[in-house]
Amino acid sequence: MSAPPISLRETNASITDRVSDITLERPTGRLWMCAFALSFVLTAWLGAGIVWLLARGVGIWGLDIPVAWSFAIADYVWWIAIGMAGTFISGGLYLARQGWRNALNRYAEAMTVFAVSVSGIFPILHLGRPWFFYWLAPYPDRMGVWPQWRSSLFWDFSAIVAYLIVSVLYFYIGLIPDLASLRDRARTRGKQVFYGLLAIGWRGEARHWQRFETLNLLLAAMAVPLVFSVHSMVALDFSEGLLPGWHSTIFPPFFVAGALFSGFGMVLVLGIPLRRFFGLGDFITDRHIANLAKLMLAAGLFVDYSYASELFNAFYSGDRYEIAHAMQELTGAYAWVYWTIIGCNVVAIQAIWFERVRHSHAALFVIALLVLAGMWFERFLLIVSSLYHDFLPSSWGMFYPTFWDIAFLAGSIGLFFLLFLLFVRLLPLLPMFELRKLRARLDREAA
Amino acid sequence: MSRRWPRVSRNEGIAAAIGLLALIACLLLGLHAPREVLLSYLFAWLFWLAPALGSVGLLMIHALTGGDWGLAMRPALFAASRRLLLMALLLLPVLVGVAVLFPWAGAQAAADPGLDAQRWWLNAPFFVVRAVIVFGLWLWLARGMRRRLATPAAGRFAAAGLVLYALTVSVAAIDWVVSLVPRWHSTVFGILLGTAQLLSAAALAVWLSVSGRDPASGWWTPRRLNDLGSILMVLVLAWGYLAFMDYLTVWIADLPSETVWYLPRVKTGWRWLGAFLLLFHLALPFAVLLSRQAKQRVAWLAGLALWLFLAQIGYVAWLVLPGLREHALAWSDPLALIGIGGLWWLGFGAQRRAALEVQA
Repeated sequence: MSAPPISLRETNASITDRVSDITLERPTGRLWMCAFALSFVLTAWLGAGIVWLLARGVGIWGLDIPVAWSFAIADYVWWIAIGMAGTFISGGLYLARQGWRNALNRYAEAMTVFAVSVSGIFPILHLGRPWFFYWLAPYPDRMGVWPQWRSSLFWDFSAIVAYLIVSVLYFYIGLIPDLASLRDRARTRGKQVFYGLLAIGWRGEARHWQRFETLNLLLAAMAVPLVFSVHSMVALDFSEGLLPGWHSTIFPPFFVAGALFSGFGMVLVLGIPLRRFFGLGDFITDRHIANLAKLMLAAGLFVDYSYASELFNAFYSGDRYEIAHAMQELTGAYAWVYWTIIGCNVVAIQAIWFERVRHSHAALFVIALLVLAGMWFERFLLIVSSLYHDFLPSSWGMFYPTFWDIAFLAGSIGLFFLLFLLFVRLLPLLPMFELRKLRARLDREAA
Repeated sequence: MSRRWPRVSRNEGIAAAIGLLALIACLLLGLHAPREVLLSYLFAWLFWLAPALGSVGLLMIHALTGGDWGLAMRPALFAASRRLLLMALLLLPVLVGVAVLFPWAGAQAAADPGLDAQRWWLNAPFFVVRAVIVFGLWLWLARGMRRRLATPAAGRFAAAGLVLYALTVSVAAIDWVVSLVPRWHSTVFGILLGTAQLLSAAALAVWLSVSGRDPASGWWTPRRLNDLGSILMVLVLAWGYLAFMDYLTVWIADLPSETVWYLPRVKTGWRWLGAFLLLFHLALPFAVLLSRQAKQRVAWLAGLALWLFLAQIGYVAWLVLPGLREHALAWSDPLALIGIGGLWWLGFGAQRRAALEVQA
C-alpha cells in the first residue's frame, strides 16, 4: 500500500486551521513582497508593450514576410497549454476517482484560469486591429458579416471562450464552501464582507451540498472534453496552413499531450515552492509530487512519440518537401532550437524513470523548468521552421526577435505570477472541504 | 498452472474444425484469385489480432493505473493474450504473399520510379524482418506481463513495455495497413490502430467477463459494472476522436497524398460503411454508455460490449478493403473471418478458467 495522500496527523480542525490561517492570519512575507514587486515590474513592461503596440501596430514585433507568426503565437500556444493540466487534475482525475488529487486541484485550477487569461491577450493583439476582435464572434450585424465557418480559427476562438467560461465557473464553484469557511473565521469586518460576498450565501445545508456535488460533477464532465477541443483546434489552426511541418494528422492528440506535459511541468514548478514556503508537506505529500512527475513523464513520452512519428513519416512519405523540412529542423539555421527541445523534452525527462529522482524535489523542479522551456521552444520552432523555408527558395528568410517580442514574453510571465501571487494571498490554497472529506474516507477505510 | 497444451472443449473443437474448413475453402478460392483472397485474409487476420494484442496493452495499462476494472477483465485478457503465438503463425500467408498482396512489392511496382523514395522502408526482406522482430517483442511483452502480474515489478515492466508497445504497434500499422496504399501516410495512424485494438480487446473482455456464464458473476456490483462501462466509453471516445481528427485534418487540407486514401472510402459505396461506423460504432455506444442505468445492467453492458467487438469487423474492413479490388466484398471475407476466428478460440475456455483460479 502506498503512502496516504494526506498526513494522518491532520484532523478536520487542523486542516481548516492551517489552510485558512495562510489566508487570514499569516502576515505577508518579505519573499512574497519581493516576488510581487518583480512580477509587477514585468507586468508594467507588458502594459507598456501593449500601449506601444496599439499605437504602432504589430510591426513592433519581429514579424515580417515570410515569418508572419512568431513569438506572440508561440506565447499564446504555450500559455493556453499550461492551463490544460489544471483542468485535467481537477476534472479528469475527479472523474477517474483519484482521491489523491484533492490537495492539488485548487492551485492547479487557479493556474488554469490565469494561464488561459494570459494566453488570450496574444491572439487578440495579433489581430492588427484588436479593437475589432468581437468580429470573430458570430452575431447578426448590419454589415452582414459572418465568420468563415470552415476555418479552424473561428472554432479555435469558440473553443477558447468556452474553455475560459467553464474553467472560471469550475474554479469559482469549487471555491464556494471554502469561501464560506473563511467568511465564518474572518475577524475583521472587511474580510467578512469580502468573503461573505464571494460565498454567495453558502450555509452548508445538506441541500446545498447535494446541488454542489451535482454541479461539480457536471462541470468536470464538461471541462475535460474542452481540454481536448481547445488544443485540437489549436493544432488544426496549423494544419490548415498546409506547410510541411504544420500539417500532420497526429497534431491534435500531440498538441493535447504537449499541453498536459507543460501543464504538469508548471504544476510542479508552482507546487514545490508553495509546499516549502507554506509548510504544506502534510497535504502535498511526496506521493503527490512523485505522481505528478509520473504524469509529466507519461505525457512527455507521448510527445516524444509524436516527434518520432513525424520524423519517420517525413522520410517514409518520400515527399521532397517533407524531407527537406525534416532536414531543415535537424541541421538548418534553427537546428540549435531543435536540439534544445530534444535535450529538454526527450532526454531530461528520462531521469524521472529513477525513483531517486522522483523523490528529489530539487531535481524535479529543475526538470519541470526545462520542460517548460523546451515546450516554449517547441512552439517557436514549429511556427518559425515551417515559415522561414517554405516551398519557394526565393521567399526564404530568417526571423529575429525584437525588444518588444521579449517584452511580451517576459511580461506575460510577470502577469501570470502577479495573478497567482494574489491568489496565494487572498484565496485558500488548498480545498479544505475536499481534504476533510479525504481524511474522513481514510478513517472509514481504516475502520 | 501447467505449461501443457490447454484442454479443448467440444465447442472449441467444432469451431476449430469449421475454421479449418473455411481456411481450406479460402485456399481453393485463392488459387483462382490470389490477391483478392489474400486481402480478405489480411482483413480477417487484423480483426482477430486486435483482441490478442490489445489485451497485452490493457494488461500493461492496468498494471500502471490499477483499479477494479482490470481485475474483472484479467482472466479474459490473460487468455486472449495467449493467442499471439497463433496470430504470429497465421501471419505466414501474408509474408509469403507479400509480392501479390502489397502494391509496392509487385513486379509492376519495381519499375515505378514514383516509389523509389520509399523503397528504403518498403521492400520485402525488410518487411519480413520487421514482422519477425515485432512479433518477437510482442510475445516477449505478453509473457513478461503475464508472469509479473500482481508482483511489484509489474508497474516498471509495464511502463517500459508500453513504450515498446506503442512503437511496435505503429510499425505494424504502417506495414500491414498504411503500405497497402503507397504514397499515403498519416502520422496518427499508429495510435489510431492501437486504440482500435485496445477497444476491441476491452469489448471482448467485458462481454466475456460480464455475460452470465461467468462463475464470478456474484461479484458484480453496480459500481464495478459502471467502471467497465466507463472503460468502454473512454476507448470509444478516444478511437472516435483520433479517427475524426485524422479525417478533419485531411479534409481541411485536401492534399493528394492524403486524399488518395479517403477517396475510395467516401466517394464510393463504402461511404455507407463510414456512416454506419459513425452512427453505430460511435454515436449509439456513446449514447448508451452515457446512461448510468444502462451501464449498470449486466444484459445491456454485455450486449453493448459484444456489439462493439463485432462492429470492429466494420472498422477493420474500412481500413483494409476499399479501393483495392474490383468488387467491394468477396466470399472469401466471411470465410477468412470464420476461418481464423474458429482457430482463435481453441483452448480459450480452459486458459480463462486457469487464470480465474489463479486470481481466486
